[in-house]
Amino acid sequence: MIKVDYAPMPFVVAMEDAMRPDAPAVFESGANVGSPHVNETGNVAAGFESAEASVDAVYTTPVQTHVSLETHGAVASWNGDELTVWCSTQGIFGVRDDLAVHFSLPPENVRVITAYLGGGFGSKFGAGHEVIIAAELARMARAPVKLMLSRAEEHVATGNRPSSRQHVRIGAARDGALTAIELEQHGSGGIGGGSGSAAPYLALYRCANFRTRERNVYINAGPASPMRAPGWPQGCFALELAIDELARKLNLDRLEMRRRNNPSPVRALEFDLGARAFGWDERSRTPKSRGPIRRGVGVASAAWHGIGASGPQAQCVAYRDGRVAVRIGTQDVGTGTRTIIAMVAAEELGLPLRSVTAEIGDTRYLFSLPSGGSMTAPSTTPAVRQAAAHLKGKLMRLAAPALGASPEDLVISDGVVRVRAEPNRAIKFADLCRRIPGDSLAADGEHVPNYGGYSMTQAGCQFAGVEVDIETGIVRVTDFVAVHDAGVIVDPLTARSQVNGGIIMGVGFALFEDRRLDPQTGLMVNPTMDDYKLPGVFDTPEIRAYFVEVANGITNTGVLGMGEAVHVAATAAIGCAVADAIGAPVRDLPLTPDRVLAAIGAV
Amino acid sequence: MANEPVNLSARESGAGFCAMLRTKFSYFRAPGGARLIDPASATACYTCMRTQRPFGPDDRPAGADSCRGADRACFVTED
Amino acid sequence: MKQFAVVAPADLASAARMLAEPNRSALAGGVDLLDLLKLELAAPAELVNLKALGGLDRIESAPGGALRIGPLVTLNQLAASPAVRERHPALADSAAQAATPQVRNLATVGGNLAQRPRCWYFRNPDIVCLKKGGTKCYAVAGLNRYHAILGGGPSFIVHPSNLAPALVAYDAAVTLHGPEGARKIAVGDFFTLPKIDPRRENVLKPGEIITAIEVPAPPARARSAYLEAREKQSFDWPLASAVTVIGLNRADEVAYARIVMGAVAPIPWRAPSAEKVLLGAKLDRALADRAAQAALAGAAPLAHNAYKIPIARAMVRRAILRAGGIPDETA
Ligand SMILES: Cc1cc2nc3c(=O)[nH]c(=O)nc-3n(C[C@H](O)[C@H](O)[C@H](O)COP(=O)(O)OP(=O)(O)OC[C@H]3O[C@@H](n4cnc5c(N)ncnc54)[C@H](O)[C@@H]3O)c2cc1C
Ligand code: SF4
Repeated sequence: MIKVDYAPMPFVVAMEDAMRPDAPAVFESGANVGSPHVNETGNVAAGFESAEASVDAVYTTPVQTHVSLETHGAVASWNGDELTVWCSTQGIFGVRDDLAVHFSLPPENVRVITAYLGGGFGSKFGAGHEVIIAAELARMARAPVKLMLSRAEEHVATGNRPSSRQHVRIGAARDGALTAIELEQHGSGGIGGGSGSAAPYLALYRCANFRTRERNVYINAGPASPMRAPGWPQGCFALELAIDELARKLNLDRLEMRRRNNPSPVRALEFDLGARAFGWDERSRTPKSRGPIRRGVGVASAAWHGIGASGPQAQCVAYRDGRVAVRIGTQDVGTGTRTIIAMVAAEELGLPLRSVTAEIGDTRYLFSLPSGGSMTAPSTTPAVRQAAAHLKGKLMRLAAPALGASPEDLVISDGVVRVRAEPNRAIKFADLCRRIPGDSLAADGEHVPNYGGYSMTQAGCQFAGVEVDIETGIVRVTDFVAVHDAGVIVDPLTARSQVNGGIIMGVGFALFEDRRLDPQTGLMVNPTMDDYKLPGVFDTPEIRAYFVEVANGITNTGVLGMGEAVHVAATAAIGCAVADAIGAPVRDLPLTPDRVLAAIGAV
Repeated sequence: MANEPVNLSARESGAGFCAMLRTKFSYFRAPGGARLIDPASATACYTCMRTQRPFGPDDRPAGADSCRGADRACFVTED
Repeated sequence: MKQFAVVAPADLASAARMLAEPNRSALAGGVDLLDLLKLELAAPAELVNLKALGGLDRIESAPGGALRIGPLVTLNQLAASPAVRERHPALADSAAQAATPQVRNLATVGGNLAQRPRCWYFRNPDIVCLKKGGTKCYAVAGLNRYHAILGGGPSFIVHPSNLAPALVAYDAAVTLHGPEGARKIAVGDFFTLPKIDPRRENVLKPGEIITAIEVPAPPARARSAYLEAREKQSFDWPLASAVTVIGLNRADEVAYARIVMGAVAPIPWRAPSAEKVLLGAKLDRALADRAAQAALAGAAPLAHNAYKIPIARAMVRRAILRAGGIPDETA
């Protein structure tokens, strides 16, 4: 029996309130407002001095929650001092190691399995309290325990994208060249931190003089956790809206303004491609309206660092019966990891896809990294390809005597090994496998450190079209064109799915999502999937995705991750399109009817 | 640059941080083999493995600045 | 969730008797009731399953066009019924635009009228507001963007039913069967304002069951329309809705008018002053505009919901134009 006594304490749930000197302290040990993270280059004052026009405005973004369809949770089961956990996680090895630390076990006594995962978006690294509680209870109960959080608990306690208040000053010369950027940012990660949003200000456009100051503000609310491109969607929204406002002052086409400040030759190409596909020139110049419906268009830049890291190792195994398995201790967060791993192995081995199975999501396999930072595809595929290549070498050595040729003279494609010079001398893969002396033939591979490569950043851009009903303030996103560099596209279907998901999440952030905290009780009033509004089918625009496959030479596959690059610009593009449609910027997310109506002076 | 999207090679290694300090990149490793913890990051969300919360057992925030150096009572040395 | 039993009544009389006992709830589609059970906002010991009763799931139409709708008719049934579509299109549309196809397959007309409000303070199990027997309405000083702009106080819920405004506009009546027999009242009198009792939204007495909804045929040459504005186009509740029924005389003047709004007040909100603007006049955009102004003239918004006024106004104006057959710019 546990008896709990509750006493109400002073609390603060609005960031502006928490910043007041007399605000209740969230932590007794220190101030609510943290010390600034500063980035500074050049001379900002001089930059503004030389500007022909400038914009000085405040933009805000709310707290967005991850809303993974599968909540956090696990099933834990003990066998003596061995613990097995079936867990909804983006990082099986991280969970294993955390559990090993918590229970003082050697890591090999802990097995973590994530066969499938219903989304994580950055909120599922490591063993959270729910995993540890499940394991503790299972130990006490001497029986397996399943603990999955409720939707309300998920909204409140498992992380979120922090809020932001971005005071932006930005100046440009007559030709549109940016002369200075200054950002005074506050953001709240609740009782946690990590609310910065300056990154896009420094990375998206060329500007010699900038200063960004980011400060975290504590409030009495659930802690932030990484969420799909941490800081970027917030920063992009404010920056891109400010750039639009500046372009208007300079009487410059908004795309042209971006072209003039764009540092990336890849994005220059993407701007052209996207503008043509979207019909930017025509659509941006002819304001179209039908009764109270106003149409608008917007464009925004995207960037990310979807390159991989070392660590992952893969194993490729051919069996006597002709099956091939590729095993790697990664997990599929819903991005299609399983599919592309099988594809890479099948291609390297010259086999049809159906003869290769990818087995993932188990710490019994060789190590791989957590799935985050768009690093899974670029980190795992090189290890898989190397393992497949090593296995191919072994298979060729097995085939050589049968074909009376040396291994170097053999090639394999479509499931048949042939002598390169005499293709009729051949052996079917299935027949070759029957020559395997034991039951299986295995080879390992690893992600070797990235080669120098062409570029460490990947460029993208997105164009959005919206319709705004100016009598109701209701915004509909009609269509999107997304142009992205993801290196070599392994599977166009799963790649397009990433684009779709990134944009739909951007629609939610742009129009609907907001963790609303009641000032009287501190409680979240919308911890459901009804009141916390998410885009549905009719809210989803028509999306066209184009890939610029830059041969980057970074790894043996040249694959880049794209989960984040495809998300960072979506909300910004919508924000710019709404401003275009109604002739006034709405500087606060989400772009709900009250704000749209206020921006046009209807309330 | 600290504000590059993700630049693993530039991240500081985990040396000197409490063994209980967690953040997304602490599950990755720097080239030298240490856990990746980057005090310059403005977007890292820290948790303490002892509490699974963003604060330590002493109710003070956990973070790259506050969980480095053995002067905090709860600090655990990495082995 | 507390444990409960589901019981199957043999007939209407025994269902009414069972429901007259304390701690009983009628179960129809269960869409709202199950949510309330999960949130522990209702904790009945027994659910009396109305689906065990036969004959309550039919739509009957009389030759003149009058309808008799059973309480267990689903929203999809109502939306798809040719008889309803023909003479009462606003009712069919109000059903078609509610919720999602899955919900509409389960949700019944009776349950739709008797469902509890969506107010996020009411639905939060950790908050005891006026409606749950507490001492204050948290919406007054709290987050009230979706709350009432008309008829509010001391509680500020909006009635969630899409069908209710349409039924009021068509002058429908509900039949209620209780342990003491049946009574028939206008749908407009079924709903009740919080100033009478903030804990309830309707006049259902313990044991009473909605057994029929009767909708008279609209007057000759009357046309009707239902429109709603939603933040999201999928899976969302209206910010405001409007139903208009308009009849013209031979001189094309408005001879009959009903204007009822939804999602703006704790009950379906009829706007007689707006109806008066229309009566005897010829319909055009300017007239529709004036009627819409009149419909919202008495609005008293809270801190965060004044934006619902222009939205409701637009819905009323557009619904008048649509019913009047005047091309609407948003068509
Ligand atoms: C996601 C979602 C979105 C929705 N969107 C909308 C919307 O946009 N517009 C809208 O109008 N509705 C909407 N609804 C509500 C839905 O239409 C109602 O919950 C549904 O109609 C209730 O009907 P039911 O048969 O399931 O009732 P139940 O859940 O079975 O019952 C609801 C209540 O009515 C009582 N009751 C049921 N039948 C009778 C009867 N014959 N006599 C007396 N009391 C009775 C029950 O005791 C209970 O208290 C939505 C619901 C969901 C889940
Ligand atoms: S709070 Fe204490 S125990 Fe936790 S990580 Fe920081 S120093 Fe270590």
